[in-house]
Amino acid sequence: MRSRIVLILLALTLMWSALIGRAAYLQLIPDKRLNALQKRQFETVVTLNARRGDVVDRNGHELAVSMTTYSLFMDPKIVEEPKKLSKLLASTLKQSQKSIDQKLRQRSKRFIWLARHLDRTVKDSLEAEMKKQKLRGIGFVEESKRIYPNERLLSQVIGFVGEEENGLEGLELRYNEQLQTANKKVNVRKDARGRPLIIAGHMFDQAPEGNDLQLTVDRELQFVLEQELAQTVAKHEADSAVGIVLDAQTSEVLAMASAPTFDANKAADATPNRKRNKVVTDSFEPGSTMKTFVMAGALSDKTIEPNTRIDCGGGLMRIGRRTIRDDIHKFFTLTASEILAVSSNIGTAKIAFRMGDTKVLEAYKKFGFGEKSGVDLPGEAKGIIQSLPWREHLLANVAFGHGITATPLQLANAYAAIANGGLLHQPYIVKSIKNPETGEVTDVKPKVIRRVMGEVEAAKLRFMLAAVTTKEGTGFNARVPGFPVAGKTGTAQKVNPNGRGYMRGAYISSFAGFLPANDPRFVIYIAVDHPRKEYYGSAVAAPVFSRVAKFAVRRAGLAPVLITEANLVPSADLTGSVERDAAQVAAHPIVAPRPSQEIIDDQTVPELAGLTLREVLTRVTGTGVNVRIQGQGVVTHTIPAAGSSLAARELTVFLSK
Amino acid sequence: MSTFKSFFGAGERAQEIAPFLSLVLVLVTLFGVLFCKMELRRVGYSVLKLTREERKMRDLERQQSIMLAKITRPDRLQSVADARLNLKRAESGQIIQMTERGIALRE
Repeated sequence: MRSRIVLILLALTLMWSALIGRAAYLQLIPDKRLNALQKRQFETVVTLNARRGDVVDRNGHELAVSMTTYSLFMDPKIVEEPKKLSKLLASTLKQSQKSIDQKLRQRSKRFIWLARHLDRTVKDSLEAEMKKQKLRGIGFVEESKRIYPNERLLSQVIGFVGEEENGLEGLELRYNEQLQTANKKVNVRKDARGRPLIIAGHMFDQAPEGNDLQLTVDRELQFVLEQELAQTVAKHEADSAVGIVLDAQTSEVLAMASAPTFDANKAADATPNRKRNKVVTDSFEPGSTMKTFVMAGALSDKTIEPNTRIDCGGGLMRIGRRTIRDDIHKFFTLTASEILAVSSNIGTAKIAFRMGDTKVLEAYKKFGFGEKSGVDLPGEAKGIIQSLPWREHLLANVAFGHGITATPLQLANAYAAIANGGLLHQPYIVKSIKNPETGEVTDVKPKVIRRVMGEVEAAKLRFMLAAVTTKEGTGFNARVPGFPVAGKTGTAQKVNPNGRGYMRGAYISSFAGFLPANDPRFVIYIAVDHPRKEYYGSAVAAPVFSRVAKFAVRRAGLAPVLITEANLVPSADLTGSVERDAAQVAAHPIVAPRPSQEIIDDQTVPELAGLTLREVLTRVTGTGVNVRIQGQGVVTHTIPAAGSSLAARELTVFLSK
Repeated sequence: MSTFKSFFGAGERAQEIAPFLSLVLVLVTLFGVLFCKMELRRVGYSVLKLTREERKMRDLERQQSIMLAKITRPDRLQSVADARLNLKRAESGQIIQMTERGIALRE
């Protein structure tokens, strides 16, 4: 009996030992299969959906944002009451019951999309109704949706994203890496009902967020530019129009637009032509706006001075078998300034001949033509410049902007170099990048590419360009009351896209300029493609420039510097003595960059009465005297008066008609 | 120990009660641990619920800000100004700008 008891005890002990041993083995020795099994049973993966970064304008207005949406799917296999469910879905989703029934019949499938990107209210109401009617078989997947609240505004620049929020065009594509971030997956323990157990603290509010972009663009200015371009296209029955506004000192893009445009929220419906950001992707023969850079080259290498006289041959010039003409007017002898003001093809060609093809090419290349500007936008074209040698007729053509192509951005940026005193900057559109998780902000700084001309030559060229908007100049329509405007018109024949040569009666009308001419803040370029009612740049593009410029200076709060009787509001309180006028002089003097030969070697104010503004400026350029101008017409008096001491090196000139 | 003895009496009585007291202590500790674990889980569920609520609120706030951006977009403001308020754009000469020098200029 005793031995039996011992035997049983032994057997039991052995069995228990084996069990404990096995338990210890399972518990202590790692096993991949068992680990995976345990993980599956007790752990769940929580996916934290990433949010694509926002894009805002320079004042923080939203341009592109992402919001959480809910996409609805169905598992037909577990649907118990298909009729009831399809009726509910049809009424909630506003879909036909027939199409839902068709999907419900696909019993072999376990996952069918019913609707994408529903908002939370639809989701909540559908879930409540499902619970009430005790229906099953549908579920929601959380997704993110890109929204462009301003619809058409800046759409070609911002671009758009695909269904999975990948950037496909514009800034969305260029900055996709910065804007996008991957979803975060977190392993957490779950309870018996599959709910995650929060042990590791507050991980659910740590959803990853992409970087936010702040642009240099001003939404209001952008709107005005787009509106003006759209109206111009309609008014002149043009194919399209482009415009760009740059900060004259840094080449920041303040506005950039092409018309017609498209709604970025419905990008799939738009044609590729509307989606293209033509300001950077399209290069064309710019026409007379290129004459400015021939002048810049000629001034830099001392081939000409603003008052150098050129024989313009009475409006006709023969080069071999070809004849070059000046439009409308026939000029004989003109100064370089006048050539620019009246846009003489012959005068410019003759200056180019004096320079030679190598120097003209060098001048163009210096200003960034024939190379990408490096703007942070995709698809930039670099334009075409033919390689040397150039025959005489090609040199003449290139001098007035044919036989060469450039993008609107290249042109505006080159004018900015003249406006800021000779520095070519790399244009940019993203002002800063913010990491929302760390709060770190990376500011983008203006970048100088190179000096393209001396400050003195740039100042001379600015004065020459200011003459373009005088009554005798082609850019008269580009004037802005109260502000001196410098710029150049362009009317280029349009290249035939389906063959050789140019299209008959098709032109690209443009105007490039900056203001205020004495202290430039804005560079604006406008081009209208194939306007059918009028075609001269002076009649089509210059008025658009004027309206956009007017808004830009008003928005920037710039005080007018050209105070004339025409824009002065008459008031007894406002008319005063010469001394009082002196106290009311403009705050932005024209600062002459370095001493020159013409005027004021001593400390005495010369007699300027009776001179025109241009004559005064010519005499003052480079003397180091700060000149303030008041009025229009010819000089009536100065403060200090003629013959007085000029020790203060400040001179106020009053003009009257 | 002296406190223990003074409280329960010295000698045999203290020895009699000691195992029971140990058991009580162990049980109280076990219950304490269990209570803490249950409390942790309960708080966890509350945090989960509040986190979801917070996310919902954030989404709602985002939705509202997008709505605000949509209704204040420049072209909509202009159409409202034109169509509903009968406002017109200022024309040349209608804007009078005051400069810092006290001059009134018509733009």
